[in-house]
Amino acid sequence: MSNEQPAKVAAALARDVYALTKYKTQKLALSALNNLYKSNLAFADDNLLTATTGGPPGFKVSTGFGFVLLGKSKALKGHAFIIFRGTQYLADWLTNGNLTTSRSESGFLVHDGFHSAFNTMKPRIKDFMKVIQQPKNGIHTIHCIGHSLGGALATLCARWIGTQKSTYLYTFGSPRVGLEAFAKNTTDKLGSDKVFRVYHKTDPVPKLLPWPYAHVPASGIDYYMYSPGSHFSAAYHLMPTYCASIGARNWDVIKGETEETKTDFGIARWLESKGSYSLTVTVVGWLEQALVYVLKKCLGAAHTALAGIVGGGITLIDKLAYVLAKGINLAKNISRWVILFIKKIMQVLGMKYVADKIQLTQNFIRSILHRLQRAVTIASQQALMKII
Amino acid sequence: MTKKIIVSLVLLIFSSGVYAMGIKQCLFSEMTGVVNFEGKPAAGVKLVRMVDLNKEIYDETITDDAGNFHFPAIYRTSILSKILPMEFVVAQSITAHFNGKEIEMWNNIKRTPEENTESRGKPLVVDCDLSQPEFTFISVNNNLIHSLCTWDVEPDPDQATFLFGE
Repeated sequence: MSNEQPAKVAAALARDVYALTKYKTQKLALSALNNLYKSNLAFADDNLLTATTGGPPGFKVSTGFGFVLLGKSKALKGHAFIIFRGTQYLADWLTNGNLTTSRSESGFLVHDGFHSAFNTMKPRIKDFMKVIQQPKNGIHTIHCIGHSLGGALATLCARWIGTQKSTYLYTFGSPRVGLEAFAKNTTDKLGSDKVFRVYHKTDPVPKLLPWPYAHVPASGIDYYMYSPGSHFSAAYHLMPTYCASIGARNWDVIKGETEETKTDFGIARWLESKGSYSLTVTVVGWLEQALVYVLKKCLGAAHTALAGIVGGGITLIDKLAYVLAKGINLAKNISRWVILFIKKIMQVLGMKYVADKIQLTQNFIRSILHRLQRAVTIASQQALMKII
Repeated sequence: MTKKIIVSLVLLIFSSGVYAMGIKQCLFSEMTGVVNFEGKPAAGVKLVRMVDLNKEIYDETITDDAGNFHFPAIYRTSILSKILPMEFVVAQSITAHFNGKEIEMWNNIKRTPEENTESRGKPLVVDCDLSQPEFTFISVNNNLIHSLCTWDVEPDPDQATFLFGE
């Protein structure tokens, strides 16, 4: 029998951790927990909510980063829940463009901000693990749950617990946490059927951090949920919105909703199409996939090892411009696609492509990619201004 | 494998900071009400209100001869900042200074940025009884309220029943 928790339970916990860690007294937090979850769940330890960690400068976890619950009802006996909230501190870190990695305890590269934050929490989590390990509690299954940046922490926590117990991971609107090797290893360790990554189509946060960061699970199922509109929407990042979208549906039903995957044929058709496009989430999706399509052609034809464009001090846009510019000078069936791709970006940006006047140099391609990045930023900014 | 790497590669271009600006949020809904003690209006009671989003803000009022009080709404506008969309979580309390004692009569974790969500859009008019020994808990639009007060509102459906069944 599967020990996974229903989507509505994981989502409610990921939402309520924000309120329950905001209380200034344990008495009120206990009262709220008892009123919301009745006798099904209880705090693992009376002192958990007062946990404070030093952490790096400016990082105060005075309100708590989360807590551990133990299942009390017949159905939940033997289950422990480690639940993380997102924090403004991590949000600032995530958006300042710092992509530095650190090596996790298991030896994989993960984002330095998440790694440091998780490390400051580790002493408390070790205490929690002692409670969880106590034979009298009879815990056989651990559920790590988190929303947004709390999802990143839950991911690190699940990997850290590893295979000590049967461990499930549930994230809602989580950014990427570590590099591909970390994502793959974490997926293998937990088992892809024990990872539930939920995200809305227009939630901007799962789009962070950029390659070479990768989502967990690296294989298996993602729980994609439709959200209306074609622009990024902050409202669709928030946990109450996730709870509303999930409703009473179980995982199997949510699984039925899948993000449209674009075939190579479809991408080629889109690049060749003459239609007029503006910068929407849909068009950004097409451009992302088109870039993959064109890069594959360039790299395949040039026999360039990917390692050659990874690392070094130059920015990723420089590297992409380099590969694409190389593609221009390759066989015609390659350069054609690079040109179509650049044309498409320029069209989306409202720029005119005049074949005779434009030299597709590395510098030019780089400037186009930079303009696209700026335009996407402004588009998400405008979308966010419209909410609430 | 190579394909997967390239798939991730392109997203840097589309990943950028997310901005929010000028979003008006209600930290405390306008509240009017009456304070009673053992069935009689409590006059001249100092009520201290606290609101905590990222830091605590205090203000106060005093009940009139009929025990009536009024707190205006507290709004904040988040000015331009490069932030991710953050959960709205505001701690609120009202403490009554009565007969030499401090009695907390309202404690709410406000989870919705709109005004009057605690009363489902209607003006928030409360009837509070300082002689009550214990808080009553109510969840309305997922705002979690412990109080010595009552007001005209339908609570959220029972969450434990929704999540775990009877």
